[in-house]
Amino acid sequence: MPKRKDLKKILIIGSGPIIIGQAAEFDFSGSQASWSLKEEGYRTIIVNSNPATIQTDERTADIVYIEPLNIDTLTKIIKKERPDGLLPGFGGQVALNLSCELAQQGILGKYSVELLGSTYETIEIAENRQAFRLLMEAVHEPSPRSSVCQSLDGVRQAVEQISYPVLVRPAYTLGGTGSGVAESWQDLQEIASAGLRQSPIKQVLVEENLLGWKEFEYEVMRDGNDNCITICGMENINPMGVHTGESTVVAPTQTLTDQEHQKLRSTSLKIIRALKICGGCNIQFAVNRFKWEYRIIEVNPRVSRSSALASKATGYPIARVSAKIAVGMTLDEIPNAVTKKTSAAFEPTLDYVVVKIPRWPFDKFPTVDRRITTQMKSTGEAMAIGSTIEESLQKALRALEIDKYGFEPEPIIEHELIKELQEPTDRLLLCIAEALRRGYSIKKVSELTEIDKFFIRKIARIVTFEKRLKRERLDEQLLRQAKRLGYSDQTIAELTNQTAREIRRLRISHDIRPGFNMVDTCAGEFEAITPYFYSTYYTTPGKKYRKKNEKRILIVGSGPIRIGQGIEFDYCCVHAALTLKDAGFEAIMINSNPETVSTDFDVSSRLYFEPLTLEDVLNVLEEENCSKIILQFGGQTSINLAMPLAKLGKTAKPRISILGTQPDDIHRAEDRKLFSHLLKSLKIKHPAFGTGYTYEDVKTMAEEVGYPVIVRPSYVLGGRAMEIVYEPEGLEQYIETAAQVSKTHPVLVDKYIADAVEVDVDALCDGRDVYVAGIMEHIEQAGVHSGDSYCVMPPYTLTPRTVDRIKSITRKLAFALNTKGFINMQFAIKKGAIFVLEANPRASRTIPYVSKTINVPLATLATKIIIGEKLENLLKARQRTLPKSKFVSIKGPTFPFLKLPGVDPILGPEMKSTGEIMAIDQSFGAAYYKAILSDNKFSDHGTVYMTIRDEDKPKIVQLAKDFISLGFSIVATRGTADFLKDLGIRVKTVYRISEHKSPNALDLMRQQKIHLIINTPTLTFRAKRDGYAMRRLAVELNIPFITALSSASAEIEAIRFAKSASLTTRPLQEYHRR
Amino acid sequence: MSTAFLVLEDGTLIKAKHAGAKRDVFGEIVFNTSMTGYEEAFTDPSYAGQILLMTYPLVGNYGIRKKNFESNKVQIRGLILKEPCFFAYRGMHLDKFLDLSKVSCLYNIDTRALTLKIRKHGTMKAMIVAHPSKMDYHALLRRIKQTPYPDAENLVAHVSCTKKIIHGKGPSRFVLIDCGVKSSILKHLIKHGTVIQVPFDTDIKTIDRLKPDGIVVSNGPGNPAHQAILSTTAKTVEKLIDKYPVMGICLGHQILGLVLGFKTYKLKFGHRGSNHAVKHVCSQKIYITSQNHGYALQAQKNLDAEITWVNVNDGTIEGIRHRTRPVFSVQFHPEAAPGPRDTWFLFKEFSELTICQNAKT
Repeated sequence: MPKRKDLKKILIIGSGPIIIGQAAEFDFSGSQASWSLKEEGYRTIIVNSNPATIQTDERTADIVYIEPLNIDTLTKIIKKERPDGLLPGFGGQVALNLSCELAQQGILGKYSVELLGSTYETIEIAENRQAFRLLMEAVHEPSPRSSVCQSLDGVRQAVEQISYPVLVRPAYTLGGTGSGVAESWQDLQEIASAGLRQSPIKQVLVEENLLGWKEFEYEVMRDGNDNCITICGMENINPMGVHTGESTVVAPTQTLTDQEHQKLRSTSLKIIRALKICGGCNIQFAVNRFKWEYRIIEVNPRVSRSSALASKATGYPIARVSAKIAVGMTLDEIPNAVTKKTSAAFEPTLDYVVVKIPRWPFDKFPTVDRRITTQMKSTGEAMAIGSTIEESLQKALRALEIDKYGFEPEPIIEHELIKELQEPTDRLLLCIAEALRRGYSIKKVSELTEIDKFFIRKIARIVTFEKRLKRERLDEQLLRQAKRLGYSDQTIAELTNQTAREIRRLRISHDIRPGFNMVDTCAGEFEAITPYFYSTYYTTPGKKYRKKNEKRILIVGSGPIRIGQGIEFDYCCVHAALTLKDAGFEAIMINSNPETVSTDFDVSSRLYFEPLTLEDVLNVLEEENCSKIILQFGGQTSINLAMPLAKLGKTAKPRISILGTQPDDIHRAEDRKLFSHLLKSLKIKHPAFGTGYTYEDVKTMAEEVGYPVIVRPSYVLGGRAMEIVYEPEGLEQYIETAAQVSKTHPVLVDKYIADAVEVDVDALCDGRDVYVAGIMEHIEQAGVHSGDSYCVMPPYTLTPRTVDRIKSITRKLAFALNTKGFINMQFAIKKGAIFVLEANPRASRTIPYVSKTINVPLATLATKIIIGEKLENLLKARQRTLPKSKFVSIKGPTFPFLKLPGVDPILGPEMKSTGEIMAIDQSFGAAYYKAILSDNKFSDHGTVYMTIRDEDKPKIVQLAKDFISLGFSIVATRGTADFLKDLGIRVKTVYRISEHKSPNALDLMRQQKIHLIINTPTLTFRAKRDGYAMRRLAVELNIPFITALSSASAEIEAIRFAKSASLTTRPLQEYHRR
Repeated sequence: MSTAFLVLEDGTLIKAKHAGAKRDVFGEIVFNTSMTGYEEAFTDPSYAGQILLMTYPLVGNYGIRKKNFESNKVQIRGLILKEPCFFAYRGMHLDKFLDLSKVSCLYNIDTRALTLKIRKHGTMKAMIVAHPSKMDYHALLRRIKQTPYPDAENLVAHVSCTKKIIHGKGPSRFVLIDCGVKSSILKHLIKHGTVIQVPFDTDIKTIDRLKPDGIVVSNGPGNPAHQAILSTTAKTVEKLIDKYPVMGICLGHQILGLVLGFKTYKLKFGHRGSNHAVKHVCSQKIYITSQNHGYALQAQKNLDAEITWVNVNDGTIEGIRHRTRPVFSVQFHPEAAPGPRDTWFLFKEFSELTICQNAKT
């Protein structure tokens, strides 16, 4: 069937900010869908609140809306744009739920918008567990015994039919939020009541417990002619009980016989047919480890994280093909993107092994519960391709960028080790290796972990080889074997008491180099032209490297998504690749993240799916015979390679030259001492600071610069382990728990400038000229990590003079650091004084946001500067001055607190947010209102609960009055209440938790009598602990929660706006029309 | 574990590790791209005369069990692997199996590079040299070049049954002409009736006496246009199509094609794997099939048969049907094993066809 002619304009709903359970994969799928449809001549409209996405670029979609993802906004967009069709399946659960609601409310019907790909009935059946189970019964396929419950009573009845332990899953929640296993009625009560609360339809599923069964996933496709194919079968190493997003996953399946695999494949096709899905679909199976039986656990009638993984694992572009199927094309009509000759109607076959390991954010949260369960906690993932499980597993491990280059020893005491194996955490793989190292048998480890012996055996093979490396002489044969087992040079070096550089030299002297194979979907059977490669030591490397080409540049990506390094850097890398290609260069991409657009092989000239360690990057440089490398777009991952590459630069073959700002200059900006010298010489103010090598040192230093101080270990990046301490007690606590201090690990102490306004600046410099692209004013005071702050463009309180001074300081520093490309600056401004906090000569988190606000593709310009173009030719003079803005653009963070029990949702210098939204409207109030809406937490009436520290009390008088005039009532704890009462403000006093009297704040919160909380905590160590319970409860009950008075003022403006006017919904293009 | 060599017709010499029976083996080297199903492949009679290269690097992961065999013995002459798995937690270990079944196996080979070579050069003659100490490379290469392809001889004779065997007891009676049949084909047919398995060279009179409701011509190794086939099986089939419903599978399809006026030719490197998309011409539907063949049919003008299935990738003929008689055949393996089960329904269709035909007569 050819593509439909009756459709012209198609709406694609994105997935919003990066959160746990929903990462970059939906930028990848949405972008692919849009490109795929545009290619067929359709007009596309994309709606997403996340600016750091390629899909919200004007080159991706015809019309872009950066707006909150809710029914109200979407209705307005549909009314205005009148699309013919809506693609519900490319923006994760968010888009699917919204699409369903639009259908339910009759909005799609009213405006004649057709759901494409999956019908409403299909989504209903797949998402509603009861309906799904009925369908499975109808097609005679086993799904777990289960019962859908609307109340705790229902749960009690249901569990009588099913024996403990039972699994509880709330309906329609992201990444399985709120799921858990209950061993007793007590557990069950707790999990089920939380689940009932969290489920948007107040529904939980109580089901047969399949813990310990093996888990498999199948990615299947169906077209309108009922043609069905399987893209990939994947096997989770972790057993059931660990969310598939939390599992180490291997593709293809490893432990199934052909009979078993075909049975699951046929079942998958049967299900996609029964559901009548047009496009991609993901089916999850549980398989009994001891006898052949299986259950269908879940079906996702849309593209998913797993389909992104399957696309990268096989080379088959699932989202791209799904979009074409949604507009009526059949598989045999869709060209095969890999061979360019045949059609999309085929099943990929692999001749390699793919391993994916999740990346968890626990390094950021020392108090978090690290266990991996049915609820997702990971923020991202790394994928690796190799010839064997051993090779891929070790590659994936070092691709995680957690400072592990292989299965390094885990210093852990015996009983904790056993506990880790039984109740896995993020350290599971390392603990398995450690147990084997300590002599545990494969059988024993398999029993403890419930992981198939096959995989344990593979790890055992790696561990056993350690002994040989330690004992034997490292000759050619041993070294080659080690490399084939995936050992990094670094790990071999550690085991043989040498340096990685020596191992590398030895390797080269024996001509032990990796070969690079193509990911061609067909195991070599057909000629393919995919520019997609992976390294393996099982392949004889080509005799010759690629022919030298001066116009060839390697771009180092940003690896797995983690807190502090999100999708923004991938966005920049994609721009760099596309720009280089446009400029006639060969853009070579290296990255390890399967979710992203940068690892779409259409984006670069050639893609290398490799870890981003020095060794792996050097291998690619060598293979490509490439000497030019760009490091400033891949966040800290690529910047960290600058110094080591520079050191090798002259001796390496080919010679390495780092394009853009030079490593020495990057170092001058990163090293506190050098940077302070530089600032002094330029007469630029910065907060007083010092470095301590012992605890006494640090204490003295803190006293010298004066409390409060910001403390952090030297050279620890991304704000990790950074804290503000207010008194010696806090410092002592910090040194004891968060950071070591020693001769080699000094601690940096910075004066914390309290109550200062923080400003972020993104600029471009070509060596002759500086373009200050964005000046962003933070709403929260300095001291809250810039990634966790709301920020506003244009600045809303700064005087023109301050803005000019900021620009001039930025210029001075950009020149002083010999910047070529990006520079990001952070300032603290207090009473007219401007302090420089940081200068980062690289792409920053805010690049996409600034680009979209000012309508200048900054990453494209930076790339052009890096390859030698001049700003004066790139930007017209009138673009150079910041225009008098007719609108306000706000960037806001999203936090993972709900998914991470045990974490205090208090903001500080350590970054905690996972993603961001952008809101744009005519006034500050409107934009801030939109920003809050994007985070789904807003109330324009009700009760405000205030608990304010003493020094802030004078500042809340106006706030309290404003809330009352807006119709809110106020409750407060005694201190705050008395203070306000004295001033004649109506306040109800509530008890502190510690007073053990009713009504206390927590009770009111639980009774849903509090609609907004303003809490400026006393930041001493003890006081922090006291407010913890209240803050956690606010997170769990989803009550809006403000910790900065400046945010409270902003909130008032938003409420004022919400009460008096309604939001405008306009495409980005309209805002930028001059 | 010892060292051995692989020598190809084009002079390629590859050093590798050796497992299994220490035997020098000559054969035609072919590659299979299935990611699972090695038990079935090793025992598939269509591989007679061939050295099998598995493109999926890990083989042996789930052990080996007899119940998954496609015949009662190992049929491949030799085996080429990248990373065998010599342990398994169910079934027999691969190394033990290789020993017992006397298969000469080379491993730690860059199978991808070798696959690309075969793809470029076409299928080649090759030799596994298990005793390298005595090897004289030039003499060996000469010998490889001089030795004819294994399919120069009638390989079917080696794998066909030698006397009639009766399976099952359903009311319908299928005569299965065994050119090297896979057990799975038998299993499927037995579901629909009694199967009388007869040798490939059984004559028409003998078959008539068996009173069949339908005839199935099985898969098998080698060249369909081999003189020994043309003078036996093909001759019989020519007469059978006028009398009974006939279904041909793989080699059976090629033989039927020859009888109906098609020509056959040898593909450059064949189709061997579990991911081959074929299109049903009439419904335009796509099915993913299991394939294992080195020869294919070539279309001719004005025939009594029409093309019913084509390969989506290279357009080769995947199935034909007689214009007037209840006679059809497919190049792929509807019984799968290993491979997708998308076309299992063809056995049912054939069974229904025989029932219809009986009702008519």
